[in-house]
Amino acid sequence: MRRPALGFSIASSGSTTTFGRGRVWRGVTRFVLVFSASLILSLVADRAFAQSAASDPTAAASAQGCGAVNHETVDYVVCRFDPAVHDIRLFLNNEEGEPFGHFNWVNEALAKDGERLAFAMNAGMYHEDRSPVGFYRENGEDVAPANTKDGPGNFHLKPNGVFYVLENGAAGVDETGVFLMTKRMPPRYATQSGPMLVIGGAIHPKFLPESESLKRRNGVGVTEGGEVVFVLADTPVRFYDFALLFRDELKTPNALYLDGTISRIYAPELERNDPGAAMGPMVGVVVKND
Amino acid sequence: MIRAPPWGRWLGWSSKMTEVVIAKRFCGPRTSGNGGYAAGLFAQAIDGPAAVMLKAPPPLDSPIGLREIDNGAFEAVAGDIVIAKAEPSTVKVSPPPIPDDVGVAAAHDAFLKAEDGEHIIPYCFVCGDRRAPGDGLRIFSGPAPDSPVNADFWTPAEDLAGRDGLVRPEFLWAALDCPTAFALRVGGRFTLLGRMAVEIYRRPKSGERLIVAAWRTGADGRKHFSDSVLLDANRDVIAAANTLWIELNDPALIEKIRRENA
Repeated sequence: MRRPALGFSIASSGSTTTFGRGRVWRGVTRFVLVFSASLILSLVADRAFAQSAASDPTAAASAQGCGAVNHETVDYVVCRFDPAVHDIRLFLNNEEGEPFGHFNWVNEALAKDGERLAFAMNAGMYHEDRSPVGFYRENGEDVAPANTKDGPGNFHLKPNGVFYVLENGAAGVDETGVFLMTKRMPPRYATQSGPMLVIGGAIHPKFLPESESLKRRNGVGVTEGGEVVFVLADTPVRFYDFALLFRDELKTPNALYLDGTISRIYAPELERNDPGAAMGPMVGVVVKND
Repeated sequence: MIRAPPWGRWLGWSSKMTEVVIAKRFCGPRTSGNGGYAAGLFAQAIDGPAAVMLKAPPPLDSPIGLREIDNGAFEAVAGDIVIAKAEPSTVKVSPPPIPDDVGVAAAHDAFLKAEDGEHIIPYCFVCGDRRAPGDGLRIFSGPAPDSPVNADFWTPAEDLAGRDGLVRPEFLWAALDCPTAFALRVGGRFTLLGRMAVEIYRRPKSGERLIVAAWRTGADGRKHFSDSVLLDANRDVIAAANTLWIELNDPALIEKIRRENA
């Protein structure tokens, strides 16, 4: 199995991020006790402070591996892998049946077989005990059944969907209903999450372009050519804009939301191993140790 | 950056007058410097532990003079406005039990759950969630479970180090700053840094995995007090801070700040 191009990087986030036009501070404060109202009044808005888009997400997605990009003022990490040559797996529990929880523990387990993670991110909603909310299949065995119930929260913002990797190495994202009805070889790995971001080239019908719900988010899409694109928004973004990135820039006709707010990534080439509490399902690309 | 302005003596400044500039990257609110970062720059005029009282928002990309006044104290001035006063000080902290790594990780997530998309100063160099990794410090110090401590992990990047390979003092001041605000746990009430005293016991190398921890120590009317520490991998305290925060009580003013930083 070929190793992914670990050296690939469009640019570090720091170097792609610049700030808007210069401005002159309008400090007109007079002497006041410690901090006074006049102090605050001198904080003048600078609406041009938005981060400039200095790199092209399409370009970032045109090479294998991960790159940091800025698109429409939102900072993303875009990671692209060919499932035919990259070993994409899902991870939930260790040999003792306990949740791995963290990328480091997955790496530790892989090391016993001379392997390691080249990339990983959280991959689907989970309960407090880290068990999956929806369908979850790992290494050919079902761990949790498909969830077609109605309910609150993003998972139930239907249609939701399933990301899967087949035994032959092909990968896909389908609406849950389509996934369950389609006759195909059983997936080696699958995780159900929601909502779908892009469905057959269309944005999820319930996403609002003017929504005020901005969160860190991560998701996965699969291109017409079969390449898998994972994306993490490092800065808050609305669902609609996140979906637009997948549809219009990354050209994935189907894309699935994996989670938000607590989204995190493991990407050694970007020196990323994000901190946070224990996770449920994770998706990773596995390579042999040198 | 600190430098002596060549024109200073024509204005009658003493030979002790130096100058600093706060680059835009190091903002707190969008149009002024992060309080901790600015205080750390001003404190470099002091040898040893120092306290900085902030009196006006530190301007960005403009020269700020540091002039010696008395008893080893310095004033930071922009034009004829006194921005801050820096003076030798002492720092005393009595940290409560600092959460283990699991608790710190939970605190990190708690911050994200509370602040994601709701941050009042989202472009702050230290704690802004709209600053990209590698650009902002992204210290997300939420409340640790069942603890008075707010905390997060922090691994200083290479570009934060000086020529000696050690993280520059102003970034340690910055890292110690914002967590003390969140540790006040005053809900939606808005506070601004009024005074910060810092003692640095050891400057870490870039790439060291640190923990920032902060906790509330008291209040007096609209004044709120909190302390913070930086811990290294051995959980040794390498820097400590005492801070004073002033609570704003003008809703219109607070709303204005929210709008300006949206």
